[in-house]
Amino acid sequence: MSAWTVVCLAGTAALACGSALAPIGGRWRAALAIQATGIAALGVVGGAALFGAAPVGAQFRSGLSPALGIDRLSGFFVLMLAVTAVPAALHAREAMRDTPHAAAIASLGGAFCLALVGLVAARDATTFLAFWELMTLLPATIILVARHDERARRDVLAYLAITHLGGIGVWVTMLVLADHGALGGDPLQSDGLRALVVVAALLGFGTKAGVMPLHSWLPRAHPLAPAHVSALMSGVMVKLALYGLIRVLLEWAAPMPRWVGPALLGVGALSAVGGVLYALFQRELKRLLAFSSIENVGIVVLGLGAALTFESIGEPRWSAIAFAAALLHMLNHAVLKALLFLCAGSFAGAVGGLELDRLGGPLRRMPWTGGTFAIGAAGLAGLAPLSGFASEWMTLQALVHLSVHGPSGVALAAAAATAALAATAALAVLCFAKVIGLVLLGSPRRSECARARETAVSMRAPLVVLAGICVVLGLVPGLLVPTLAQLGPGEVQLARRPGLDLPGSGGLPALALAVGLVVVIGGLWRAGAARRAEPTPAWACGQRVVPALAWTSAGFTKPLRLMTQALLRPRRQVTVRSDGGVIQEVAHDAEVPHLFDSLIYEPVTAGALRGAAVVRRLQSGSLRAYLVYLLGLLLLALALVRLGLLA
Amino acid sequence: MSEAAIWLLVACACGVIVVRRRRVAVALLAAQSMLLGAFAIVDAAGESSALLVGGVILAGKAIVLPAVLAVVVTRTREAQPIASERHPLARLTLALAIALAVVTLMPRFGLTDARAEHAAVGLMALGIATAVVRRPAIFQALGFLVAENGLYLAALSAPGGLPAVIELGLVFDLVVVTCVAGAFGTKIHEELGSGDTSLLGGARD
Repeated sequence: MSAWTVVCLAGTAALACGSALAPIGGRWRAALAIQATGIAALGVVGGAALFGAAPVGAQFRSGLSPALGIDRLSGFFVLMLAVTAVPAALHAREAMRDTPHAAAIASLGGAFCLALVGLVAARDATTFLAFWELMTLLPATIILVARHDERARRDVLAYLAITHLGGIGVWVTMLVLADHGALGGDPLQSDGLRALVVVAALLGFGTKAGVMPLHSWLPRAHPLAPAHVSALMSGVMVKLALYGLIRVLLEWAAPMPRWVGPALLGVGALSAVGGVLYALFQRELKRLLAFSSIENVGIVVLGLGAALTFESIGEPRWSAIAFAAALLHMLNHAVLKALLFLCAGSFAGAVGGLELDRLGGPLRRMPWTGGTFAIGAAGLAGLAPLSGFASEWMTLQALVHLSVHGPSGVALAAAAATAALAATAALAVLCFAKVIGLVLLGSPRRSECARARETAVSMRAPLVVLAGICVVLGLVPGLLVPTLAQLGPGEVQLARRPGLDLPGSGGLPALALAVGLVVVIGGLWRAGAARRAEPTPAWACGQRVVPALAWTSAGFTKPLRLMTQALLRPRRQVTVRSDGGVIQEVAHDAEVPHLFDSLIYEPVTAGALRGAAVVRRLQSGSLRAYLVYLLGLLLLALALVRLGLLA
Repeated sequence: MSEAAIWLLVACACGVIVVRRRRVAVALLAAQSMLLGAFAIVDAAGESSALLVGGVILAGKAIVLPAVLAVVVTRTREAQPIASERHPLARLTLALAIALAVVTLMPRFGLTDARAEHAAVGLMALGIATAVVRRPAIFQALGFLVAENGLYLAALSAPGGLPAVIELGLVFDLVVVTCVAGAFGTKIHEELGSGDTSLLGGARD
């Protein structure tokens, strides 16, 4: 047994013990610390596997006997989980102090982490599917333990229904692959079978990853969970669905048909643009972050689509670059989204709500939390030199290269995807400028915001660590990219240097950009500190400056709403109350409905309910009727056997 | 097993479908089970363990189960014949049509004696058909016991037979199922004043 195996087993044991001990004797805070230690140990093993240590445990096999192991790709995802889950667990130790059922949530959270590790370590179809189901059920249980309101139950039901329907695709994929020996390395023999596996995988893993239009569960479920669980769901769980997709498309069912790459580009573009567009119009912070996850999943899928397309046209070097961009964006998004969800948890604890129009001012009152939140938001907006920029820039370079050098049809698809990514980047800046402006800046809009206090050091430290990782990943992405490129098709070697130097792109001097930015910000800071004039309140035409005069979420996005109203069909209602000809009050209510729900999910749900009402007539409750069905089925099966239609 | 014995088994099953009085139907089932038990004991002559198992099955299926059902019949007297019952000839025709269709379509499944195989399948089909065409609650239990007798006939005719532990387990299951069915039948009679299961349709939510 190798040293890494021992560390891996010790980490798993610590995680399991932390999960089991949480409900015992009110020691859930200690249990969370044990869980964090276990996940950290697993992260070390994952990092070692990623950077070249020998794989731990078994290889993939097509049999159904359970097997576990960690290779380089699994190592990357275990490392990602550790980077996200350790700060989340440490943050939760303080954040859940006054939360009802904290012990149960801590215990289930540990089990959820175990399921996530188990999924990436699964080396056979049975284990993979078992952990896949646990990964779906455990967060639903956590939400139901944490919240008892009607809306939570309804949204959890929608989450379970959609992900389980999508899960059929995962089951079909894994069982077909196992049946044909593809998990163990035998290539699929028929193109039809390969197409079936690809479509099932896209539906199954795509639903769990939250790609549009299969995403409807994600903005419902992610905001409901406690902050540290939301961080894991948005940061890691959706990435593990992409892990499954990567395994299928690049390994088990490879080589891919030519249409798969452009199809992924289309799905990725829709998810990226749609996700950020809907994020812009959200009025609650965690729901906005959930839609932002859909956007970033779209960017990752764009990278994967580009990688597959490059591979199909015989450009392995760029295929590896696009694949590395997708993996790097997954890591960046996991870190940034964990940071933002944990910050959101801190804000919610301090001010009691996350409605964007009822926040304001925490940057002054909670400088550490507000500052790290600003770094996370800027990173997610794709601003240089933070981590989100590097991976988006790499993806954009890959798409530009594909649109210039690819065959005409592919080039057209790549050009459209490039335009979609560029639009996404611009809209993301607008979105997070709104978030920073409404959440962090301005004057407090409620008394709770005015009384908000900075959180304890033990809650701030995980945020600072995550913000630090975001900065480091943005400054020296080139140190990680060659390792990620080796995980892709072709195992291409790229030069390892701090900045990014992509062929034909002129490179990205991230470090130099950062230094320049620090100098400029320092200069502005100094100039601001040295000003002589006394700051005065904003001029408001003689009115008193009150919170009601501040920008609102709807006001900030109104120009975009007007531009896109033909597409998004916003609803707006203005109620004017007047007395004696004098207007006393004007109430404004605006909403951007979720078109995917009203155009796809609601008609499908209504049809399913109508179908269920018809089928329910068969369920008479009479034993004799059931026996008649049984006899009818028996006779039908026997007749089919007689006719040779059933073996 | 002789052809006459096989026809006797089938005739008993048909009798359960036709007769009006529940006591007679229980007696027919007891006779059918007795015949099968006797056949098992004759077949096991010379083997003490098989003989013992055959004896237990005979006692269980031909004595205990009919006794349980007879108690249920005694405790749930019907004031008048159940009106929703179809004509006996219609019941028999429907049940025989189902049984013949199943026997015709069923492929051979490996018994050495083709007649026993057909009879086994036919008894199973007639048992299920009994539960379908008869309305009184107790006939649902009788139908399942007839179908089980079909399975038992197949087991007796199989080369090597069934392991003793499985046969004993089946008898135990049957005793439990019949007791539960009897309890339910009694409860239905208490609540509705009749064992007519068609009245349960009104109890749906």
